[in-house]
Amino acid sequence: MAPRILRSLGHQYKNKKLFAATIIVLISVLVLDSSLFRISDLIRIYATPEWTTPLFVLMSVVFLVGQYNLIQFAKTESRQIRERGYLHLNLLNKSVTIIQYLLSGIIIFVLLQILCFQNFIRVLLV
Amino acid sequence: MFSEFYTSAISVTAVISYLMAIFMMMFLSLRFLSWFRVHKNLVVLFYLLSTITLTINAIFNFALILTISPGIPPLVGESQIAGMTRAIAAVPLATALNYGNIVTSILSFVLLWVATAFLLREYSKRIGKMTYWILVSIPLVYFLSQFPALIFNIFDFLITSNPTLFGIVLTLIFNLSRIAGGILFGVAFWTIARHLPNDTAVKSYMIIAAYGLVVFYISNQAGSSLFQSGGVYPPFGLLTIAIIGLSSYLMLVGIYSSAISVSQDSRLRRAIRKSVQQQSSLLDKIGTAQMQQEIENSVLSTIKSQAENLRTETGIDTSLDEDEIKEYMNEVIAEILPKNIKK
Repeated sequence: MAPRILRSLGHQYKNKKLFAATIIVLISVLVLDSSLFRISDLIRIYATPEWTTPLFVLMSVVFLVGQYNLIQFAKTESRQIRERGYLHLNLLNKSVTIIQYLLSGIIIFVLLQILCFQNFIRVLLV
Repeated sequence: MFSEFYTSAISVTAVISYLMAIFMMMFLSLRFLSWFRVHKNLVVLFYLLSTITLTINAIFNFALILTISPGIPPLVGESQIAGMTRAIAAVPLATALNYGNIVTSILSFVLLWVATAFLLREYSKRIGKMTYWILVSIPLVYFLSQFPALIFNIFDFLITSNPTLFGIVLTLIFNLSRIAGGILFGVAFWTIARHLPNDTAVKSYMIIAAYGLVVFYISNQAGSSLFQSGGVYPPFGLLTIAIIGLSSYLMLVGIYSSAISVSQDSRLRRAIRKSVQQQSSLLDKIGTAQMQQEIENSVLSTIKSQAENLRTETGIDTSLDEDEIKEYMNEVIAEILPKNIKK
């Protein structure tokens, strides 16, 4: 189910306007992420986990989908050039894809760590 | 007991992302250098200089992360209030790297701005020189204004009146300055794409490069400051730092693929030359330079194999060495190329 959803999302780039919208959402998430990190010290007293954790989870999900789309877009659009073997672009593309999936794995790991710890504490308190 | 996460996840993400960015930007710099050697053009020169400074900036960020990340607490939780700023001040190497990081960051922004202003200058004829320079200068002035404001404490009276509110407002305002720059730099590539024929792959490559530039400028601002501010819960900034490598890859693929496509498509080269749009000249220069390099490589390998055949058949070595062959080839190309360009 999940791979099918990801695949269908990944094929959005065939519709250029929809892809552009995905990128705008991704860019917005990045702007929000960097802004929140910059002001994190100043909003520390207001930044309660009740709203920051769900926001971080939501941003991470949007980021992972957007990043997947971006990788797929670059892969599809550069197919012609990659097949000609310039600068080992094919190898480069494969390496970048693997590395980005590895980084996505780290983000998912952090998400799970935050969410599991929270549930664990909730169970302990009950 | 509070919810926590391992900060080593952030360090690993930052190290991988920056290594990737250094590798990609270095490749892109080398490409621009090889194109510039063939075509001495101002736009290509400024793109070369800006990619070099971006590479150096990424190296500074990477070194800074390696220097200060061991000081970060291994676990950061809801209750954590960490002060890595103290750690930076305590390590002289980190302070020096931080200065290098700031200087190269400003320099790369200014150089890329100059390249973009040159690239888009055709628009000054349409909207008027004054309007053009005012519009193009807004992101640069916006970006540079934060430094005198911080050095001369211009906003001190606001901050003392309400430290939290004005601290947040000013941080957000200056945070957006890089984003404004990134959008301007991306728009330059996007306008090139807009003027290209619809059925060409180069249009997509230019769009890839435009996305890459915008995302790079947004993501590069997190960098080492993520470690300077200490642990943040939840780890805001992690997503931004995770995309630096990918964005630099998009820039490399977008620009390099465009050059290859233009070098191999004479119809496209003609279309670009016919275009009165000044911004298309970048594509023309890097595309023609790429073509010239490919011709050189192809001729050199043919000459080498012919020389080898000659040696095995007759036992006589060729009197020309590789440099002499290149020199002779450049003379021939110089004679032929202007005629083709006029066509």
